[in-house]
Amino acid sequence: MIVFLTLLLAMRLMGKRQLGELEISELVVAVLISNFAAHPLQDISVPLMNGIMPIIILLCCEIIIAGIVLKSTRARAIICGKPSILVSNGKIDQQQMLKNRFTLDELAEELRNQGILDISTIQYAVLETDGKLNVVQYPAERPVSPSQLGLEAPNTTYPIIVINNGHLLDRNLRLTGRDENWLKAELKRRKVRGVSDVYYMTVDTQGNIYFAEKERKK
Amino acid sequence: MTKELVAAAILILIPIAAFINIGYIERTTDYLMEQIDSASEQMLSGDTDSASETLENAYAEWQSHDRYAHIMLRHDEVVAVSEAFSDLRSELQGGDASPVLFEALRERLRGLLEMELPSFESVL
Repeated sequence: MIVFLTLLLAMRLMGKRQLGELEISELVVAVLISNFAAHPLQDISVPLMNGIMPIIILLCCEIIIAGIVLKSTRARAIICGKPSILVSNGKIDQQQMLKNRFTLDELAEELRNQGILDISTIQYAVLETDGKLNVVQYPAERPVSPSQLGLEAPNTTYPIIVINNGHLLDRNLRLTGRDENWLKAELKRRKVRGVSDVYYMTVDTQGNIYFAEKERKK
Repeated sequence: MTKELVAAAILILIPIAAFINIGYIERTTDYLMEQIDSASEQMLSGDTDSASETLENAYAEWQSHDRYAHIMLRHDEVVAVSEAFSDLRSELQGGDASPVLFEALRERLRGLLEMELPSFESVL
């Protein structure tokens, strides 16, 4: 339990970025931490401290490395590597493909994942340090934006969750600039008895409301 | 920046804490060894009752470190020391104990400290 909580805390302290996009150093730390954490859980002769101490040391190292990488671009290039341009102006850079051990099949697969079938429509394809391939198509191949068509797109605002599964989120309600009296009036207008009968409700700063009532049990 | 400083401070504190821990184990094992040596001498001089009492005091001292031992030390080593104590106590309560059992207990206690000492191999 203590090892599990330490592990949760360590992953939390390493930040949200870890979950989706692991850099090389972060991947090494994540693999090592999981291994160290499993050790005292599997082998009861291992003392608790032997499981926790390596996690703390690795966490500290990772935090320091992340701090250095954030401050120094040179350190970032050394520790995390540099992005590689695999396709430039429609031409595949074979040297870069070889250097990154990226096969043509992998390139084609990545492009298909992004809905691109024709390599000649690609202006740039960049292999990022976390292993993701970012593709920029020629302007003629890109989706048309409202501004290119001379259209005025309406401003959209971020919807804030006010009621989540029957629970009122006071702080969020205040963020929308509204109060409980307004909410009561809205619920009354929708013929809902109270907050507990609402499954999901969002409000944006322009006053647009998304409302979903809780389904009644059959 | 605060996060990085705290991480660096923890990394500095860990070796310091490790050396404090080694000092603690050394003091504990030294004290227990002295008690065992006394018990051994008392037994050799024929005073089995005093030897048994001294050993019981040493065992009580060892038991008082039980929680610490299970958090910080390898359980196999802790169990081995406790078993060596049990063997010696039961022999002494019978009125006689082999010097080999005293030496076995000393050896187990020395092993506890040696396991915690940093070495070139353990750092690598």
